[in-house]
Amino acid sequence: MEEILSVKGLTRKYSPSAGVEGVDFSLRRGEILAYLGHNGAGKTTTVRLLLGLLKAGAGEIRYFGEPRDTYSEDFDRFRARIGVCLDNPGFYPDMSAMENLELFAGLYGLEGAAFEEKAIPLLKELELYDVRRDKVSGFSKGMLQKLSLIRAMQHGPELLFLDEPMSGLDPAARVMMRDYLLRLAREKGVSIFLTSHDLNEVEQTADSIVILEKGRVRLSGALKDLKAERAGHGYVVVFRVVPSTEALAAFASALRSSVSGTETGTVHLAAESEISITSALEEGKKLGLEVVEFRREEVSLETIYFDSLRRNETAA
Amino acid sequence: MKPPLNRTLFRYELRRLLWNRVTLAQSLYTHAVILFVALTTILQEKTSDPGVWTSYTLFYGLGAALMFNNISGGYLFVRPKMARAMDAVLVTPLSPGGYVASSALACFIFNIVNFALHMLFALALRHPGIPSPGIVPASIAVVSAGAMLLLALARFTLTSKDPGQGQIAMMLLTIGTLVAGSLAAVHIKPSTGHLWSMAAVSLAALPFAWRAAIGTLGREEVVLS
Repeated sequence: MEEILSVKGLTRKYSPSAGVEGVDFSLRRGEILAYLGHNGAGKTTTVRLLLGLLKAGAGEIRYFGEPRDTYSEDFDRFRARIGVCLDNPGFYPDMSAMENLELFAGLYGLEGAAFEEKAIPLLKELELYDVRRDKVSGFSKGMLQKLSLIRAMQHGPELLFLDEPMSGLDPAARVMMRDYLLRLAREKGVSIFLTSHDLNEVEQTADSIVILEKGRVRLSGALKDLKAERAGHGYVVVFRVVPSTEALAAFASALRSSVSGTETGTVHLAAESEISITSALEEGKKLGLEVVEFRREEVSLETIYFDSLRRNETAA
Repeated sequence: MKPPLNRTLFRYELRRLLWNRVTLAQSLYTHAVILFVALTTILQEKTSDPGVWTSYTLFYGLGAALMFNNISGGYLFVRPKMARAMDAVLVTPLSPGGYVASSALACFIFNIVNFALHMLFALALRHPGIPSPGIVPASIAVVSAGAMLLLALARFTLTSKDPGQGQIAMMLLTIGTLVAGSLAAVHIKPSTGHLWSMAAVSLAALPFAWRAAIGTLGREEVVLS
């Protein structure tokens, strides 16, 4: 897949302890990348560097395969290929939604009928069409988030930067926004770079993640691979009847594994190697235990996130 | 230097200033207060002395121009900066200089319309109908000085961590000008030649102020302030 954005050694320091240093990652066409980290980790600085709002101290930023100086005037012409949805949407409160959209479209050279052709379908799709003539000052946080997304999309960008796109959204709007972002990436091939503190939401949308701490990348990669790596040979076994301690020890031993945790009827196993479902069922049968569920242990993004930060703390 | 104007932004900003109950009410209040002060001091009687009208333009006219700067600059620069709304504009292809140029031009038109109205109100109230040759160069000097201070306000607002201070400074300057006008305007009567020189100098300085305000303005200065 075509690399849309790649960053190598991106550095910008405000002080020895603030800023970002040696940041590397890449984003491919149609991919959703989540940029994660605690407050002050350097997420906003990275986004500002990528958008040419700050000048990089060192490193290389490549957009669509070409190295770009994002802080140069040349990059202004390139901005039409990028859509941005910021944490603070920055709308003019005394103007209507439509006027706000028209004004920002005009900054990208999109005017008149061409503007309406782009904006109206987006307003309908994100359910703001009926309130398009209303002043933005009366909009809820969720409506402003959606309007901000329309503004970012109306000039047809190939790459979207979203800063906390789900914050302030009610559950229904959250689901709608998530589906819309997934459709954009999967069906229209728009690449999405998003920052978020909501790990559950990220887990449902992102293809890859970058975890940042104190301005440095602590972990990055495809979410699926990171989960598989960490899951190792962990399994969850659910028995119909809670087994005795002896039976459970025998079951684990037969499968060359150890018990890493138990809940009522559910046992977590850490095995030395791959266990097939057939052997689990057979060993259970021999010991008079009925296995009703056998699956690979799922590792949540939350576990990956905190583990990566903890590992670095220990290393330090 | 070619002004990096954006037509759409300019059109919207001008409309936001002219079709706006808040800026309209503030402008009317400014006209009323300055005229009231002038009518109790320099314009107590109908005066046929052209020097009085020159002084009126230089002091009260400048005071009015500074207040209109405050109203328009406050609306188009200070408010968005304080609301942290600048980043949304800066990520578009519009340069920071283009933003200042387009918005400042809208402010300038709003200010010049109000300044002209103010002078017309004053002349209609107290002018006996004889020619006052100093008014034209004095007006040019005042309008140019006002435009330079507007650009300074815009630059300061966009690059300051405390953008409200620019508006406060402009307000203090207005008060100082009006107080000076009340105390000294009657005695200061520059010749028409001096006034044309002032107008020429102010006009000549305007491109430098323009360049200083928008020429070197970078996104980083705005974002980090």
